[in-house]
Amino acid sequence: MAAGSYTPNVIEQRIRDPWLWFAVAIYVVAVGWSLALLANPAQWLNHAQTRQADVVDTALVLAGAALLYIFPFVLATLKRLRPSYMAKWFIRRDEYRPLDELMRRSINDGMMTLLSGTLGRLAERAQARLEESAGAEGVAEELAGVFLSVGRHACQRGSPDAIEAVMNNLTSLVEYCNEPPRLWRGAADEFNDAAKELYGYAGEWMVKEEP
Amino acid sequence: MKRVSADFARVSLVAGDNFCRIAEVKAYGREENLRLAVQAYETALGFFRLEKFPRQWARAKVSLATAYGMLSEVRDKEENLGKAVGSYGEALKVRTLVGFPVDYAMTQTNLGNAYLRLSEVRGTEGNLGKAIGAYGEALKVYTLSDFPVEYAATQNNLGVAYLGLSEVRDKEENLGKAIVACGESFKVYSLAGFPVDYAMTQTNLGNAYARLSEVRDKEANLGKAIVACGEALKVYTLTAFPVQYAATQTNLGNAYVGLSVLGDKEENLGKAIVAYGEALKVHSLDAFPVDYATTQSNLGVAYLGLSDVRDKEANLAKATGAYGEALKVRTLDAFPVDYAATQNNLGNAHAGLAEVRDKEENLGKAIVAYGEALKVHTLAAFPVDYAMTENNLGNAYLGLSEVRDKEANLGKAIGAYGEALKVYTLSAFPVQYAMTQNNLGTAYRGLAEVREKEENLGKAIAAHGEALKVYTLSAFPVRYAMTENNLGNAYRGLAEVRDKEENLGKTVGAYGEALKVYTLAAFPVDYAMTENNLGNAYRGLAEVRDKEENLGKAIGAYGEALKVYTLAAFPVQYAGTQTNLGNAYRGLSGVRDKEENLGKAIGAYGEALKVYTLAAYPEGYAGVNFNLGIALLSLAEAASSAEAKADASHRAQAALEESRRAFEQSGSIEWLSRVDELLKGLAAAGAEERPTDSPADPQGETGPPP
Repeated sequence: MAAGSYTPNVIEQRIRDPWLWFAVAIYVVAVGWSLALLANPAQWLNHAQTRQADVVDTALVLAGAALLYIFPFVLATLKRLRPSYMAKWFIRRDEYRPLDELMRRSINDGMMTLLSGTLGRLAERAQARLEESAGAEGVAEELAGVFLSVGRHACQRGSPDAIEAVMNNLTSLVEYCNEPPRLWRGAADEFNDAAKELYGYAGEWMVKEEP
Repeated sequence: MKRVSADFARVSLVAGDNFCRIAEVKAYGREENLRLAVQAYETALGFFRLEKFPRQWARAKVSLATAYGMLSEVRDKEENLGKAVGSYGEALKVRTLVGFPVDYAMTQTNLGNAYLRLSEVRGTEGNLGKAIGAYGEALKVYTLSDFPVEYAATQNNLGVAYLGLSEVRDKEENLGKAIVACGESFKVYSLAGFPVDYAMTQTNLGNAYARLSEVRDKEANLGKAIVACGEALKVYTLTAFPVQYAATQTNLGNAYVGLSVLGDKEENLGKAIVAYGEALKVHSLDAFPVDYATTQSNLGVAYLGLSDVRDKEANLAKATGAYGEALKVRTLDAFPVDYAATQNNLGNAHAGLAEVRDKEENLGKAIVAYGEALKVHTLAAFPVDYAMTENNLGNAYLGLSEVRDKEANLGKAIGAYGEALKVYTLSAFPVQYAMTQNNLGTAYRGLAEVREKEENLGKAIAAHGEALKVYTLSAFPVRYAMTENNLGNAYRGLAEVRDKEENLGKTVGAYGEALKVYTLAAFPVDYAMTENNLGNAYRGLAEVRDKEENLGKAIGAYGEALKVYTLAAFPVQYAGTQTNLGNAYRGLSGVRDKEENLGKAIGAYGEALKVYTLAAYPEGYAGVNFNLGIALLSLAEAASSAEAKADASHRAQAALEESRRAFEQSGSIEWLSRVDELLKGLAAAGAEERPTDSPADPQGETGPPP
C-alpha cells in the first residue's frame, strides 16, 4: 500500500488499536527484562553480587525468546498494517469515516481490487446490520450515504470502474432488501435513491460541455 | 452542447443494467427505474455509434430493448413492445449469424419473446408467426448438442408461441407442433436436472393437450393434460411455488370438468372440486381477488354439473354459494362481463335448485340473477349472451308459471323467448333457434290452458314445427322425439276445441314419430310416457271414429306403457296408466264383450287404487272410485243373474260412497253432485251409465328445455 493511504483518520484509528499496543507492550517488556538481567543493574548500585549461573541462563533464554518473537511480531504488525486488513477492521467496528478515506485513497491510487473487495465487505456488513435492525431505514440511510460518498468521489475522479463497483453494490443491496420474505421497502428505497443520485452525479461530472 | 464521454457512456450502460436489475425485484418505483434505464442506454448510444463501436452499439441496443420490454409490463404495452422489437431488430444488424452466432441466437430469442408478448395486444397471428421465425433462427445456433439448456428454453418458448397461434388458426396442426416443441424441451428439462423448467414445460404441455381435446380425441388428450398437470405438481408444491401450484390445480380442475362430460361424471367432477379447493388455498379473496373469483366460478360450474348426478340440492346450494363468492369480486362496475356471466350461471343454479326445493323462491332468485346479467348482456353489445340469458329467463318464467300467476308469467316467458329469437335465427344459430322455438311452443301450450286455447295452441304447433326444421330425426334424434311428443300434446289439446278427428290423427302421427326414437330398450321412461299419451290420443279418436279399433290400440299402448310403469318403480304413473286402461276397457265394453271388458276395467281401477289412497292422493282416489262405481253399475246392468246384479250394485254403491267421501274432502262440488245423482239412481235400483271424465289422466310430460 502506498504511503498516501495513511490518511489522518487511518493513522488515528491505528493509534487507537489496543491490540497493536498490547503486542508492542509485550515485546518491550520481554526485551527490557532480558536486557536488565544481562546487564545486572545491581552491580551499578554497588551491591556486588555474584552472578549465578541460573540467572544467566534465564536471561539468555529470555533474550533468545525475545529475538525469536521479533519475526512473527514484525510479520503480524505488517499484516495488520495492510489496507485490506484495516478496511475489514473498520467495517467490523462500523468506523465509516476512516473507511471512506481509505476507499477514496484506493480510488486515487487506482486500487480497484481493494476498492471492490472493501465495497463487497461493506455490503455484507450492511446486510448483517439490516438483518439485526429488521431493515431499519436509518441504518440503510447511513450505509447508503457511505456508498454514495465513495461514489461521488469516483465521479469527481472520473473513475468508471469505481462508479460501477459502487452502483453494483447498491443494486445488490436493493435486491437483498426486496428478497422475500424481507421486503424492506424503506431500506430498498434508500439504496435505490442512492443509485439514482450517483448516476445523476456522474452525469454532472462526466458530461462535458462542447463549445 | 453536451458531449458524452466514453467513460460516461460506459457508466450509463452499467447504470442502465443496474436500474433494470432493480426494476426486476422492486415493484414500487418500477416505472421510474425503467425510464432511467432507457435514458441511460440512450445516453450510452449517444457515444457508442454503429459506425465506430458496432459491438457496444449492438449491446446497448439489446439492453435498451430489454428495458423497453420490461417497461411494457408497466405502461403502454403495445408502444413499448414495438420499440423493443425495433431495438432487437437493429442489434441484429451487427449480431449476425456468421459474425456473432451466440449473440445472434440470444438476440433472436429475445426478439421472439417480444413478438410473443406483442401478439397479446395486436396482430396476434402475424406477431406469433414472427416469434416462431425468431425462435427458429435462434435454434440454428442453439442446438441440442452445443447449447442444451438454451435449446430447451427456446423449444419451450416455441411451444408457447404455437399454443397461442393455435387459438387463431390451424388449431390442431399448431397444437401438434406445440406438443412436439415441449417434447424437445424434455430432452434436456428433466425432473431431476431442471425441476422448475420441467414443471413450466409440463404446464405448457398440459395446456396444449387440454386445447387439443377440444378438436380431437377428447378423452385421451384430457387424460394427457391431467398427467402433465400431475407432473408439474411434483415441483409446484403448495409451499415452494404457491402461485404456480394454484394455477396448475386450476388447470387440473378444468381438465377434470372437461373429462366429466365424457364419462364418470361424478368421479371427475369430484376430482375437479378437490383441485379447485386446492387452488383456493392460495387464491384467497384478499391476496388474489381476481383468481379467487375465477376459481370460485369454476367451482360453481363443477358443483352445478355434479348436481345432475348426485345430491342435487346440496350441490346446487354449493354452486350458488360459489357463484356468490365470485360475485364479491366480479362486481358490475369492476368486471361487467364476468359479472354478467356469473349472474347467468347463478341464475341457472337457482333454477336447478327450484326443481328440488322452494320453487317459487328460487325461481324468483333466478329471475333476479338473469335480470342482473342482462344489465351487461344487452342486445347491442353482447347479442349471443343476450339471447342465451333471455332464453334462460324465459325458462325461469315458464317454471314460475307452474306455481303462481300462470298467465302473467307465461306472457313474460313468451316475451323472453321472443327476445332470444331476435338473435337466435334459423340461419345463424339453428340449434339454439330450435331449442328456443321448442321452449316457446311449451309456453304457448301452457298459456292455452288459461286463455285463447285455440289461438295459443296454434302458435305452439307453429313453434314446435319451427323447432323440427332443425331437430330432424337423423341429426338430433332425441330432441326430435321430444319435440314430436310436445307437438303431439299440442295437437291433442287442439283436438279438444276444433277438428277433433284431424287433430287427433296428427297427434297419433306425432307420437308415432317420437316412438321411432323413444324405444323401450333405449329410452324406457320416455317410451312409457309417449305410449301412455298415444293411448290417450287413440281413446279420444275412438270417440269420433272406429271406436273398437282405436280403443284396442289405446289398450295396446297402455299395455306398452305399463311394461315400464310398474307398481314398484313408478307407482304414480302406474296408477294413472291403469286408470286410463280402465277407462279404455270401459269404453270398449260398450262395443263388445261387455262383461269381460268391464271386468278388466274394474281390475285396472283396482290396480290404480293400490297407489291412489285417500290419504295420499284424495283426488285420484275419488276419480278412480267414481269410474269404478260406474263400471260396476254397468256390470250390474249387464249381469244375467240377480245375485251378480246385486253384488255389482252393492260394490258400485260402496265405490261411489268412497268417491263421495273423497270429493267431499277435496271440495269438488261439481263432481260431488254427480256422485249424489248416481247414488240416488242406485237407491232407486236403477243404475245408469253416464259418460265420465278421468280426473287422474296424466298428460304427456313436456321434455325439459335442452
